Amino acid sequence: MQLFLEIGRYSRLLYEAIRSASEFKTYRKNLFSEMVKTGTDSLGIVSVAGFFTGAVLTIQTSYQFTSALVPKSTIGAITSQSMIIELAAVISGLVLAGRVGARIATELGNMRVSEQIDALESMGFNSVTFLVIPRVIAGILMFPIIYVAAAVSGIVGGVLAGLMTGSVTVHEFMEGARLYFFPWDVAFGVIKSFVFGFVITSISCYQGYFASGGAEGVGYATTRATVLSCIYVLLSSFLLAAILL
Amino acid sequence: MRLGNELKIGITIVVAVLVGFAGFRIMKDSPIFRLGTVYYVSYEKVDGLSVGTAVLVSGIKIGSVQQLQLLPSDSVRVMLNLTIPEGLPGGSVAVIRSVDLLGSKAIEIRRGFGDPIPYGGELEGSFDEGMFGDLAERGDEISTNVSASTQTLNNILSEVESMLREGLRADIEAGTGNLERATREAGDLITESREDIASSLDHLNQMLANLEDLTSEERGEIQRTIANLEATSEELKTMSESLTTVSAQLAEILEKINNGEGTLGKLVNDPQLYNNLDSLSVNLNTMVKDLNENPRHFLRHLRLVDIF
Amino acid sequence: MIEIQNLKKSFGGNLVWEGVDLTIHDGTTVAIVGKSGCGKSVLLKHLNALLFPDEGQVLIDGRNIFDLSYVDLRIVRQKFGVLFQGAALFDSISAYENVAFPLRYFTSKNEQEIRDRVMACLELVNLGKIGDKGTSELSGGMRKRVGLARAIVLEPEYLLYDEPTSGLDPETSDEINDLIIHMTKNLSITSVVISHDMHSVLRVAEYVAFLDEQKLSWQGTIDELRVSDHKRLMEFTRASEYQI
Repeated sequence: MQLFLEIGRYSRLLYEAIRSASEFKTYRKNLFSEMVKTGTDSLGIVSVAGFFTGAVLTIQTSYQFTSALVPKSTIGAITSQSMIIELAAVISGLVLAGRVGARIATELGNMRVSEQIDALESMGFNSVTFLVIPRVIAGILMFPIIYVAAAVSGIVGGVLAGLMTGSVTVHEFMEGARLYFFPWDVAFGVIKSFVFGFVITSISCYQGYFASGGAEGVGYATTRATVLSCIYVLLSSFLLAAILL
Repeated sequence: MRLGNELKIGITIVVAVLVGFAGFRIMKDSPIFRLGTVYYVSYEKVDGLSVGTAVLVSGIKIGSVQQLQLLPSDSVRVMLNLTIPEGLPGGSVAVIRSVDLLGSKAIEIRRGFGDPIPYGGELEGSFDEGMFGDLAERGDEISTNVSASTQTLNNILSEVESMLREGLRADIEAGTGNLERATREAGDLITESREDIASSLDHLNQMLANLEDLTSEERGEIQRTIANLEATSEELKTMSESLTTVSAQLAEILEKINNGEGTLGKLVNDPQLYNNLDSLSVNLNTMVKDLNENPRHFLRHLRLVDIF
Repeated sequence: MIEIQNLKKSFGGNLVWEGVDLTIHDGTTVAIVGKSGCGKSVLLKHLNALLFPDEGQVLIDGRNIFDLSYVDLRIVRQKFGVLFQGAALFDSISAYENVAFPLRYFTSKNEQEIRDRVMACLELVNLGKIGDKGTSELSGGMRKRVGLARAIVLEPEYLLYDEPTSGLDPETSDEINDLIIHMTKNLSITSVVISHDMHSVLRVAEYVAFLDEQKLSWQGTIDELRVSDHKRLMEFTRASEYQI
């Protein structure tokens, strides 16, 4: 029962957002500041996460492939293809579920419990247009950029880790990476990042927008936002893989 | 602040697009900021070729396969993207060849000497089967040859073996037979002579008794005999000394033989003779085999002999 | 004129109040009083349709706001200025920007005109030198006054005050009371004040509605309040007066 209620409220919020998405003038300013907060400011953490994911992946793969029959270039192929197809998008999704999701839920939750959303509404604003749309659009627009950052830093991390541990040379790594580089994988990663951007921001907006019960309620909303974002990132990743691959 | 945000986003997006584009081109192994030189080649078949396959000149990579397109005629049109700034000369041939044992392929460009081919032009294509291609193609023939050779070799070996085995056995059997016969004869001799021996011993006893009689009767004569015997033994001693000399000389001769000196020595020590003999026996064998297989060849001559 | 007719509201089966009838005439100041948790703030949020009732209607100049489309409703809402309990200032922008906020979105004023209007409103609430202070640097009384300045910046017809003096010291409370009186008299704004502070109510209001036992159990002018023999109302006012 609670589930249906939540899905219903979530859908109504999205419906409201889509319906008023044409009022660009209202949220234009917010959109740009949200794009900076969601996208530009996240590039650092996402690059670090991607870098170390790629590095660890290379080291572990070379540790597992001790057979002389498997060429060294396989390590590069595994690292770069895994990063491009799955890890760049999912790792950045999980990191940003924490970073962006928590920020959005806290912001909106705080605005809700301190009646700032009521204040907006009573001034004649559409609070959904004003608060939710710019955040969701910023997520959808900026996540592909974050994906690129994560994928590139992941492959760079993989190359450097291989170089540092001496397990695979740059040439071997890139040979394998190129052999298994398919443009469709990149397209798949980008599609994924669009979906993750939407999932994380819309869930966090929903949790924050309907927060209640003071500071504790905001904390609860934030927790739920991050947890649900993570779960739905993984779930949508699975669904996309099942549908598109 | 508003301008700041918009500027930040602009920079972020432009950098991301550039990095993404560059990354894409690097992964596709295309030149990053310039369109490569594109050529087309048509092949009957492109086994082992794929998008990204290297294009080589003298073993140096100068580009990669960009696209494979199956034509209605079932031949394949291959698009090559080359990083070299100058075009390829006319008459250049793009050869598909193997680069390793596992059948990985590359396209080797063999430059011609004609006028440059314009970008987007057609190259002549050929398919180099390579060592393993040859092997695969002529595999049947080769394997038949190999198995025939092995068969022949096998036959030869078994013949050699049987030859050796039978020859030796005959010799050994003969040797042992002789030995046995000799021993048996010796045994027979001893058995037959037993009585003779016994009578001889009796005679000896009698002789000794007679001798006793004699001694008392003819001591003087005996003494004379002894003196004669002494002289005889003296002669015997001289004889044995000369015998010693002879044996020393014999030893000398044997040593010489051993060292390969002299005709006999050479005969004993030079393997050449044995080899000659051996090859002779092989030849003989072959001849015998030939004789077995083609008796007519020899019988023709035999018949002539018979006639006359 | 605001006419509340037979309003009923419940949250998930829990009745807040029902059968609420109240008419608020233009140019008057009406106080809705009652104990904490009796649903005063909920009633106030029905006046500009921040909340929707189970039954009944609220007529603004003869039109039921609950029947309006969202677009029309937002136009009607702009007739209202609301001073929320915690002032509800946007904490990501400065005090000045908070006041300027509605002007930037709902008027075509240029920067100078906005500045003039914002400064006029800030002068009105005695905060002429607030400048670009962040909202976190403001005291409770200052926050309320900035909130009031923001509520009046679009020159509303109605002002809704949610507990305007709660959490303030008596002196600051008096300043706020003076401001409410000033708004009503000088700007001819119709005001609705939610409060449990009878001292404040007696100073600013002309008409009082007592929300008790899930209904409006008593309503009348200040003079009628003074002579009322309503038992629970007398207990409520007396308890408040002892606090003073």
